[in-house]
Amino acid sequence: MSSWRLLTPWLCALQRQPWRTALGFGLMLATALFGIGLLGLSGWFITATAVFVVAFDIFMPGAGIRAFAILRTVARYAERLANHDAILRVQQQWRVNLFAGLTRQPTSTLEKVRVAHTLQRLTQDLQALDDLYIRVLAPFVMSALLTLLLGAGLYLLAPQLAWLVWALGAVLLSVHASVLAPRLRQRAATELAYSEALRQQALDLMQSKAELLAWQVFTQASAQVAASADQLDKHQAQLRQRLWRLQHIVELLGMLGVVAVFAMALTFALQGSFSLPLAVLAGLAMLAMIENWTLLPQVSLLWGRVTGAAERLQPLLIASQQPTSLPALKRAGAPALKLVDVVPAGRQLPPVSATIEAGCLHWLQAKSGAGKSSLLWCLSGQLPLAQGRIEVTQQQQTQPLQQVAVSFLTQHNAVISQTIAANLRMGDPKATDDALWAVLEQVELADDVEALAEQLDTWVGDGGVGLSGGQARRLMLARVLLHAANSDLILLDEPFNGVGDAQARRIWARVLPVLQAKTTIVASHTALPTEALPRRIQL
Amino acid sequence: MNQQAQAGAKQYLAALTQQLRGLLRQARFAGALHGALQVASIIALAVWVSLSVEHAEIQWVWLPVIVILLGLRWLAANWASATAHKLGSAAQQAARAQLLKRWAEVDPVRPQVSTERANLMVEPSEQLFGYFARFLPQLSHALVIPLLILVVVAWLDWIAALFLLFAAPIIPIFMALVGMGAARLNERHIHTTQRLAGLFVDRVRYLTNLKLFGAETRALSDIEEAGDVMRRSNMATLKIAFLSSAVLEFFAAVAIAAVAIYVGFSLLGYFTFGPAASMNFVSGLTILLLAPEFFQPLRNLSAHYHDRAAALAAAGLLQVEQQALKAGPEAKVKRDADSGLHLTQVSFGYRQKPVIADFSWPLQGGQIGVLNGPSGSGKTTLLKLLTGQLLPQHGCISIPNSSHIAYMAQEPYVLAGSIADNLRLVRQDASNQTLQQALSSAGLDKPLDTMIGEQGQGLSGGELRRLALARMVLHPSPLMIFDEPTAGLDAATSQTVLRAINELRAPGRVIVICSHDPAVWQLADSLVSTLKGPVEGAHI
Repeated sequence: MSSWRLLTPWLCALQRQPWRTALGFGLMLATALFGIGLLGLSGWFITATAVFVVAFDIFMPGAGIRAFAILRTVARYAERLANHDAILRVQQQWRVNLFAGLTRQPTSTLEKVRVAHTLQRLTQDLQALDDLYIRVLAPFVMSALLTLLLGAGLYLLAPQLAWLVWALGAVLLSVHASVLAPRLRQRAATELAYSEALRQQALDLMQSKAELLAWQVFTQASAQVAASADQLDKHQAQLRQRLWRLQHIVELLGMLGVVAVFAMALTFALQGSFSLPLAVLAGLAMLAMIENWTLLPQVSLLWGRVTGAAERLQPLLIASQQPTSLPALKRAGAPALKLVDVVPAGRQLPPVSATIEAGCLHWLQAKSGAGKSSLLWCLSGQLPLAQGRIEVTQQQQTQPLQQVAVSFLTQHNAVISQTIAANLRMGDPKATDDALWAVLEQVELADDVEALAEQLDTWVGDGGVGLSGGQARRLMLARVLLHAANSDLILLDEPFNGVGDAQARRIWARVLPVLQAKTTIVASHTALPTEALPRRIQL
Repeated sequence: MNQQAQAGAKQYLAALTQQLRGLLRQARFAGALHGALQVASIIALAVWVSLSVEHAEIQWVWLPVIVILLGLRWLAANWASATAHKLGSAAQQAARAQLLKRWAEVDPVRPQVSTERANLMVEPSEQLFGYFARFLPQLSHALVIPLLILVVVAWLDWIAALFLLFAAPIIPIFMALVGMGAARLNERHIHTTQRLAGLFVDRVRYLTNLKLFGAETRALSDIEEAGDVMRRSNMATLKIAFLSSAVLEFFAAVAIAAVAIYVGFSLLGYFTFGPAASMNFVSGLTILLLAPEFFQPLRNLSAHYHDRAAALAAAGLLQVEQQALKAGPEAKVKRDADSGLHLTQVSFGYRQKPVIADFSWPLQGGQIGVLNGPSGSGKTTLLKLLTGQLLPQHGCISIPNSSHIAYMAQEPYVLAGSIADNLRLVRQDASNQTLQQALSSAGLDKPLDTMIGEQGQGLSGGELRRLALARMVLHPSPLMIFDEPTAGLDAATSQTVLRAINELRAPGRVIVICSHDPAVWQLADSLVSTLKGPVEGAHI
């Protein structure tokens, strides 16, 4: 896919705030022009004072030089603020768009994203995109525009000077845009592949450490990691070498350009086409231009990284045909389910057949890794089946599984970084504070929360109060209990992971009444802490 | 970063700098040479232009001088970059080599998660690059090159040199003042920022759960609001932080302007004091062109300042990993020539939470011991203790004296390479015939040259397990460990594995198996289900 097509969704956010973008860009251009003006005018001034070929008000240029000096600083400061404000707004828009796209992904994709490594990749790609405007597009367009403007200015003196600047600028810009950027894009992709390979091998090494130490082959195995690190290092060194070589060549060409402009301008001035101070101005303006061109190699390299990141994020932005979220469903009585040769998608497991009776408590018993969680995900309607079918009967009527109001306690503690109250209200947005305290009481968490300074408004998760594994589990259980009030099918995956036996028994006794007249399936590798005899489903 | 961590990070960087001082010296020299040639080429340019103007005729003789100087400057620039980048790469390599060396040793009592440790190999090591390749050499350039220019300018006109001299020290002082203000402001926001920065990642991580509760719309507005708050808080810090570079730009621009005006008025004859009276166009233009070059190294340094911050953060992480061993306990593992495995009152725990407590388990040569504890019962910890990855906190472990322990992991380690490469990992000198025999007794019917990709691609889970079993058969030892040898295997393969284990039973050889599979328990001479207390009545 062409790079521009890949970048379109990300550029849309820029278009949404045309004025901010224009302001930032205008200030960037002004900064560069004031810089060129400062050096050019200074050169003109001291030449004029030295040669006395033109009569001028000697205080005017002095004021002009001071004005350029101050304006350049002010413009630069304002430019940085305006552009960072714009880019922060764009980032926010990008996150919102990406998240909206992600919500439309099938569960299997999302489960992959949940894994730390993929999540890290996603964050890094988003960060790489930050360079798109400030470090890639804006400097490139700026370079082109400044080349045009400088040439136009010099055209007024002598067309030959303009053609020299335009030709040099055109060569530099087009070589970077058409030849280097695509090549560096490939190299950036290879760099990423190498660094991912290194990360994976280092991880394998760490995870197999006991085995490797036992065999006394840790050193041999780590040699493979060292080789990978070497490969990455060599590749990066090559990439960087290309970058600095290019930068130095651009600088050399620029300096030779300066010499050429001086030679031509002085020749014309001495022939009488224009004054000598103007010739010096032309040469110095060209000298000030070089630093804008030396940005180009960096632009090419970042272009590679940015488009690579856009390419990887692309599939996550595309909405799938899958149902996006669970619509709010009304209770319609406890369902009976019949599983016929069910195999969850993405898992190679033996088919499962079972009968789940309406309004009863079932214990899904199996070793870890036997596919309990996948089966529950299937029953929640979020994971498709690779084979088999699930028949649902609700009040003597056959129903599609998606029509059943379901509450699901997943195996992972999904503590969202938010307040405790917000975490609980995910289960029931309308729940009053009293209701929240009541449910916390049920899971024996009320005392713990009461001890916190901000109580229900305490921030938990990333950057907040850390919960122990058992506390987090009970918070999750409380959330599901709030949600369960409006559901017919309750799925609990290892509800008491990390909770002590005695406490689990007490909590379970309080939970049981809530499950009355609902179909409940509890997956657990140990027996349920209950006197009530559940029906068993053995995997 | 707290003070102790900061000190540790600085110490790490200092040690690395010390190690690489030869390269650093070279990079500094190359950078200084480049700077000197830069100054020389600018002077030549200024002299050529001014002489041409003064004589009203282009001085062509100067042109080859300028071009040669530009060529030399280009060569020096390449050399300076090459040495600086070599230094950066060397720092990266040194950090990685140190990590690999460290990882081969005993783990600290409470190691970080493997993913985080593995990541140290990639980003943190890379972050050292910028500090060594850019910041450190630039630090000396920022001193040497302005000094050189100052000397040249002072020689031409000492009053003009004063303009530069006054601006130079003022800039770092103002930058530091503003920088401190920004740091204070940043501290005030840091809590909010930390909280909000993770918010997006957090919502993505738990998106399936949010969908289950129909809460994704709410999450979307959370992300939107967080972005707004974050932007406002960031902008407040940036407003101050950018002032610091604005100060630099301002003084640089004002100094250039002042020099230009001073030179201009001297040339006009308005200033008649000191060197101003004898100012000529050649020195005037040279001074004007050197003025921006005077400030350029400082501007570069401030642009590379974030390299230092990034390197400090990375060095902090790397330092913690290097330090860890010092906190480790004394070794209490004996390698005894006597056959048998003896665990005597072994304890091990994380943060006062005992995983293994006062555990004693004697196993004689020829015996098979099976551990069938539930997950979380300390099985992994025990295996790490037996293989020397961890050291016991109390008690004593005595293992048979041997060059290696044969170990079959639940998820065996595979190299990207052939099956033969993977078998020879444990026994380098084995002939193809020996390898073939080991494969067939493990029931793996694959040619030796079958290639396996990263993470075992190309073989199924069961085949990988049989590959690991072939390693056991290929190179048995007086202590053999099997970790869940039959988990996830079909009945037939499971039988092959059990038969192979039983055949490995030999006098003077202890076999330890961790397994949930009742079929395995039947092999046991001693069956243990808890790692707390001495083994009582476990003998069948």
